[in-house]
Amino acid sequence: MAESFNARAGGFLARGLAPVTRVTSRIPIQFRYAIFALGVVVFPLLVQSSYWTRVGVTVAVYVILGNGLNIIAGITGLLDMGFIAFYAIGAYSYAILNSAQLGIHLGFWPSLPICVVIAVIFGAIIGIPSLRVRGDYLAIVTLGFFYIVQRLILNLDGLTNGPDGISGVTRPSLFGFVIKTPIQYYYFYWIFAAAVFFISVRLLYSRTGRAWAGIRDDEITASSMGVNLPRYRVFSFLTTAAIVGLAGAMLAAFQAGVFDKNFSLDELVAVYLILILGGSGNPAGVAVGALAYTFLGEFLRYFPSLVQWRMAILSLILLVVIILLPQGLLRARARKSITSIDEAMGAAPSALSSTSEGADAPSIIPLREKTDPAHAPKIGDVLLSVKGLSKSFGGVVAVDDVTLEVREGEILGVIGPNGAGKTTLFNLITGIYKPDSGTVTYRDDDLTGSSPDRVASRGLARTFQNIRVFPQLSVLDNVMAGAHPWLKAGIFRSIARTGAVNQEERVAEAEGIRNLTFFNRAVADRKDDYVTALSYADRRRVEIARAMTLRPNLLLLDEPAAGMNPSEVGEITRQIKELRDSGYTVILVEHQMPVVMNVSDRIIVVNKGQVLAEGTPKEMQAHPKVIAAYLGEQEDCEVASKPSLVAGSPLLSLKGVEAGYGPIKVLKGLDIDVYSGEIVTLLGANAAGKSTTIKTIMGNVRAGAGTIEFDGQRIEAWPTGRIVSSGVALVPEGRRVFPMLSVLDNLKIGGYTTSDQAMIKRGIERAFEQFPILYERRDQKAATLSGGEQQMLAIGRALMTEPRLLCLDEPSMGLSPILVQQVFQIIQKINKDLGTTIFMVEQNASMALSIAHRGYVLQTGRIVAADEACNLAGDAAIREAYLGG
Amino acid sequence: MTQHVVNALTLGSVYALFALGYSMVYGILTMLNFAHGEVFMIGGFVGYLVQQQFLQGDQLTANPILIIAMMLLIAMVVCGALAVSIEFFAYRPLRNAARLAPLISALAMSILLRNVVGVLTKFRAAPVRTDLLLPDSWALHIGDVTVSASRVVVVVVTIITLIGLEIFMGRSKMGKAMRATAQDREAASFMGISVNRVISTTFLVGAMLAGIGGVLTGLYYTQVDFAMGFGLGMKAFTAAVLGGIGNLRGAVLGALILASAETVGAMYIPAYRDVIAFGLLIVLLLFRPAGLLGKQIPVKV
Repeated sequence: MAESFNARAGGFLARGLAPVTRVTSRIPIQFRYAIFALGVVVFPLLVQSSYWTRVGVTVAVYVILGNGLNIIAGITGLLDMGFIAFYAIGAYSYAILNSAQLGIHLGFWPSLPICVVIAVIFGAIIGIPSLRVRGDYLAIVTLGFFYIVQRLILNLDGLTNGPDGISGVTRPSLFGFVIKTPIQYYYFYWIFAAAVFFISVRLLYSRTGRAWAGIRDDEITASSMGVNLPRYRVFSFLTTAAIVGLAGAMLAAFQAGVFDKNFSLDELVAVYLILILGGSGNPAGVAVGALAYTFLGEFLRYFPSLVQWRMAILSLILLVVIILLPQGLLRARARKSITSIDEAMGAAPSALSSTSEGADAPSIIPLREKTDPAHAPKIGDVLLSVKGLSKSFGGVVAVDDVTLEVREGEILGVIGPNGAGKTTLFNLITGIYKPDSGTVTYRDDDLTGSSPDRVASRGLARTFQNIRVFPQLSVLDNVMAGAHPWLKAGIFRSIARTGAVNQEERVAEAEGIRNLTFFNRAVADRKDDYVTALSYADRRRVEIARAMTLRPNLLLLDEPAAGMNPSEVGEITRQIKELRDSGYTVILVEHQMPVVMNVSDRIIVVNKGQVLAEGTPKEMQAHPKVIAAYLGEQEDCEVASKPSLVAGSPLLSLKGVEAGYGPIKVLKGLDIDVYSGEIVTLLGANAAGKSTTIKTIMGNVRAGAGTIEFDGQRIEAWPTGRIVSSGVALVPEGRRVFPMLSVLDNLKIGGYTTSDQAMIKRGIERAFEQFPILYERRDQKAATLSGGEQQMLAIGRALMTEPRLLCLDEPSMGLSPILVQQVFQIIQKINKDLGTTIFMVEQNASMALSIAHRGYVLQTGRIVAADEACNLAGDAAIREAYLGG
Repeated sequence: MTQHVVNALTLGSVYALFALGYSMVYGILTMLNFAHGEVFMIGGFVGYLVQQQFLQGDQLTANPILIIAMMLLIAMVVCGALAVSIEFFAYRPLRNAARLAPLISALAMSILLRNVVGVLTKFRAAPVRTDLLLPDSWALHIGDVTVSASRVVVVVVTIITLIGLEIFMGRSKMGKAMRATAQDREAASFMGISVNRVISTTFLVGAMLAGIGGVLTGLYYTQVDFAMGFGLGMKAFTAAVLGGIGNLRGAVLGALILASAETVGAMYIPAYRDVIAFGLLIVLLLFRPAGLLGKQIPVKV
């Protein structure tokens, strides 16, 4: 309700502004700057009023202050409430150094750097401890700091003169000329404001700015691209402290004094209003916000009765803007890159020798040495060696004593059923998780337990299973984020934009563009668009290009073909081979078997966290253990014990169901019928859409098209609670018991939708009777149970409401063979004894078919086979769906 | 010594009632609810307004215990309703937005409420007539130490409230649903739990505790003002972090530790007792960022 209301109101606001933005967006950006600058220059001449000129000076101070805050809050995305304290520190430092307070009159120019340094020192004291661990505590620590500074200002009379403030502060001077009149201040301060503006624009579009934006958009990805998170958070915090410290000093010089009232909580909120109203993350937006805020305040002066409501009104505006117009008046724009595609391509090796003229000629862009195809794809020495790696999460072992080696120049495919531990293995190698035991050695470096940024800067680059791009950056800036480890520019050189910095940025641009064109020219053509405007497949390409731009030796690709259509899959398959041929070593996790089988030089099969087998693709496809891991051991299928129950109207019926996540369509028109009393299983490889089918039935994912009927009622639009109440229950994938609740409370939660106490009592008794171990552990926290016990608990929990339809999502996942047997017997027993209809998603096809009446085979969102279970058991469609042709 | 223990216990009680609301909301939404401080403050004012209904000159028109009970009850209702509306209008629309947005929304809401109350009260403190509601003659005498009736009421009401909360969270269906949702939101929804309703209830319960805390603070300090939510809120949040944010028993423990530290600090460096909470927070972040009873939660990739 609230969402739709806001969406409507927000849309209305955006539409209202549309004519304005349509006009303004036609004006080229340089012109807009020029118009703004012209306005600033002529303003005092037009108004001819010292009052309004002073207002103009205030705007300049707010532009500086707002741009300071924009660094940490707008660009880095951290809530810093302490900036106002650094503003105060800057102001009081200036006043103390330039008044009768201590009898020092240091003067404007020597004082400025001192004030900035003092603010930065305090910033380091506050920022380093609080930013070392996590960003979201920053708000409270900095708020506390502000509170303390406020107290100190009022109490340290000798230094700050308490509530009276300090007056008679020295005015600034320029070449011996004292700045006194409003109009002199005006131009003097706007020069500062312009300088700060350009500094912040330069920082925004620099190596540092990309790192900051990465922290804002996705910390884990940023660190996987080599960004040292604590360091860059602190850099950002200190840059803000420095700029607002400067603003404070300038305020003191302008007022010729400072007062504690200058640094109130209200002022803090006002600067946030400037930032959010104008457009967070955008320096020009901040300038517009400063203007709008100041003139809003002046406007309110005409209504004396409203003066006391000033802060209430301003905070209400802030509230409305953040909810209805979160991008602000002047939304941030994607950066326009300097290097054209032709320039980037022209810098290919052949062009390197030819000498062109002019500083901007493409030939100045040196190239990374490409491996000569003649002696390229020879499999060489061991590049990465993993020994005895283990990791468990809350009693469940995800990776269990894995040892593997990757040799230079090979493509190593890592396959295994769902939940086998492949992604966890990637996360352990790349430093996102710290292993419980074992070692990771890359060349001669021990990388065990290193942070992701250190791993990345050693030359290991990865992509993510669930695409992780930086949504608020352009395509090319996303790719250039990968250049972080080998670019050298720091904050100061980025501000100065020395020739060397310019040069390396051009190199990074050119390399980024070339890495994009590696996939196709069309993606590169969109280099200056926001990455969120790209299709799913293109975002995958951007992710790989970003990893390539890291200049790694080893690429770890986590399901690069997921969500791509068949022709795109063909293309990416070819391109992964090309990657190897141009000198990269590749580890590939992929569920689409044709891809892995086609490209891999060698395959490692992982199951239940352990390495099951290793060999060539052909060997692995035929390996009995591998087939067993995917399909389960061959089971007898007794046709006699399974009378057909297909009669009348089905209990559950899916017709033409389509569903997905945002732009990604996972289910492409499913038809499934489940009749009363049946056990029906839905089989298919990873990423085929099995779990999505279950979640769509449960109402957790909304069906985009098609109908779902349960017991004659259309349920596809119902909330989950209503679906559960009507008689559907779920044993979720990975069990998902509530770890910190007791076994008994977990069961009770299963009965949440019923108020029938007798039913709950029956359910608990039934669970304890069926699973005596649960009775023994009834008061233990569920986290302390073993995997098998957790599965029993999850089943008992789902049965609490005595559902007519029980859905199970991968009930055998991560369990030992004996437990798997047991679980399937339990499922069969539930079906027989309680008459519960069962719909089961399962990887272990043989086992599932041995107990099921009927089965469906799902492949990339479509049903490819449906039959009696025993007929399906020998069907080639299943093997193909799981292991490829 | 006894006096200091009583002081720490009283202060700790107020911090605990206040900190629980921060901790509960953070536990379920990982969001710092700045407006919680203003809900607390409004609780104090509701108590004041109720008191005014029973006050004629310097005389109370009803039994003081009954009046205090009314103050607490009505403050709970008003604060609860207020917090549920705040969540619905200011936070729910931003639940899937960038991390900064709900924080700024909460900050703006906090300033808005503070200023509305400020304007309505002319930015002045309002007197709570503890002298009439809890007269000195009711004070307890333990040995040679006198414990004022207001302190006794603060501690006793807090203990009763905390026991009630423990029973609610541990025994009631909704309490369990709240814990389940905080642990695994999706799995909770699979059980048919309406996550939105659980979140509303979390705000409701947290705000009711804050309402009680606001009234008790008014009785203890004999006045309420529009700014009281800010300074105390800072410390209450520190207490929540101290105990391990999201952990309710931890919040109470954190409150008691913070109050003790402040009480001891006040003996030696009275002018800087506010600095103690802050110093403690920084030291904690350096050595045990997950808090005393908290656990480091692994990131999901």
